[in-house]
Amino acid sequence: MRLTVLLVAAWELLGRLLLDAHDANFVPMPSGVAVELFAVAGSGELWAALWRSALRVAVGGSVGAALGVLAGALGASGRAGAVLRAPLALLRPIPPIAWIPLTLLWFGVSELQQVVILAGATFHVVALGVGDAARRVPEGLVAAARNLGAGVGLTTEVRVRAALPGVLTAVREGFAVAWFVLVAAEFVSAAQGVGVLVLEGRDLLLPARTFVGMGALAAAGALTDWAVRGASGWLVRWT
Amino acid sequence: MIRLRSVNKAFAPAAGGPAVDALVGFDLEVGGGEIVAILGPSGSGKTTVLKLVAGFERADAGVVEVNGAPVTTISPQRVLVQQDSALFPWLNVEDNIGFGLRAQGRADGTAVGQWVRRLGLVGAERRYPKELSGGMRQRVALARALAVRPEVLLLDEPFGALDAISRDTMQDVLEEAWSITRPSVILVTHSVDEALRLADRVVVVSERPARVRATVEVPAGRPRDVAAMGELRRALREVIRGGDAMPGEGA
Repeated sequence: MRLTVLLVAAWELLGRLLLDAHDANFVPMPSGVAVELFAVAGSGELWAALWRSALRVAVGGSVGAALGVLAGALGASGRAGAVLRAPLALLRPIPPIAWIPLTLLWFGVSELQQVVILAGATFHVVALGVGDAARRVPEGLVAAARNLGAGVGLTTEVRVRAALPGVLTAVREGFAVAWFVLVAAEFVSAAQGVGVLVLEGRDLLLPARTFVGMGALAAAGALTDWAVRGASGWLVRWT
Repeated sequence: MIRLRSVNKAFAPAAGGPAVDALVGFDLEVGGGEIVAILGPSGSGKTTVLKLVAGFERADAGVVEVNGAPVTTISPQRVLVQQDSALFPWLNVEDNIGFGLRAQGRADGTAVGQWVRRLGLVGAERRYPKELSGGMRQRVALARALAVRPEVLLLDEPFGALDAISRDTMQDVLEEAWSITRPSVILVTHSVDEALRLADRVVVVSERPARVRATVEVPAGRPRDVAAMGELRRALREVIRGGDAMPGEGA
């Protein structure tokens, strides 16, 4: 935190020393960003943008995470795994933003299109992470459970609980990727959102607004991570 | 009670290639309430013996029986306790100990409480495995195994990861806990002293594929003073090092 404050102070100082009014518009100092932040927050644009983006991430991320958990769990099992692994491996190298043109054709410029992109991005990360977590469940634990008389149900519970820390880490990473991909998706086809704020800085010749958008993105991503980490910490408090 | 006769078991290596014999023509009998220690070099197949009796593995040939019935499945009547304790990390001490009872629909808080006391775990009931020392984890593993009152207890170097003092303490704990329900026990160990301290009989096996090289009755009551068994210790160590089978003893 101290380093951050120091860097911001240095940025402000250097800006005042080296930039004239014209240049300061294109390379805004922290004070300029703060002014724009208050303006965007005061007008309500910032909160509307954050709400819109957060909703997309929440819905898209949740759908992608749920499907990813299912695919990852199935992928770790014998027959289903053999079927799923090849298509997942083929799709993996394709970046989520490469799907934007197709989703625009299929769903048009719409909230659904945004959610589909985010769900797809989250799905892949979560599926891989969950599959890995499921395969890493120590067989000694499962063997001990069966040895003590556990049936299929309780043995499955043992597998799920043992894999849970890895599953939650995968979900956390999935939501982080969702925020990451959100910006590109909103650049291309959204009317409102933090990605739009970032883009407006260029369109309106207001780079300070871009910084406000980026800052909002960082804060929202950090808040999401904190929330998921907190929930994870409670769910796996035994780790 | 436990009978292995002419047992063969081989494993195919993960990397491919011909199967490797772990046991060839292996014989072992353990009577009801008897503690038999198996001593031998690492990788000789001792753990395979335990897994066959537990039902985790099937013999390629020969007989593996408990109380006259062939071992075909895993059962809480034949519980294996591993060196790494395999405690469920999301369950506290009490819940770990009670796991087997709950799994069999016989949840019993009183019984769990008794095993907590017997294994010196009072005050640690609500702790999670990550908060326990190695010795405490092994106490919980033993309590969990004994709580289901198995006929057979299989111990795979249960104290191998402990320091000498903890190991000593755990041997006392095991002997005391065993004396309550007196299951038949097969104890795999690298320690001659541990074998003499705990076992009624010590079986020395060869390098893989494991064959019985010597069987020794331990002629002492309980509790035992291993320091007073100098001759027997020396003789066992000699056999393990590859010396002749002890005079008058054999498979």
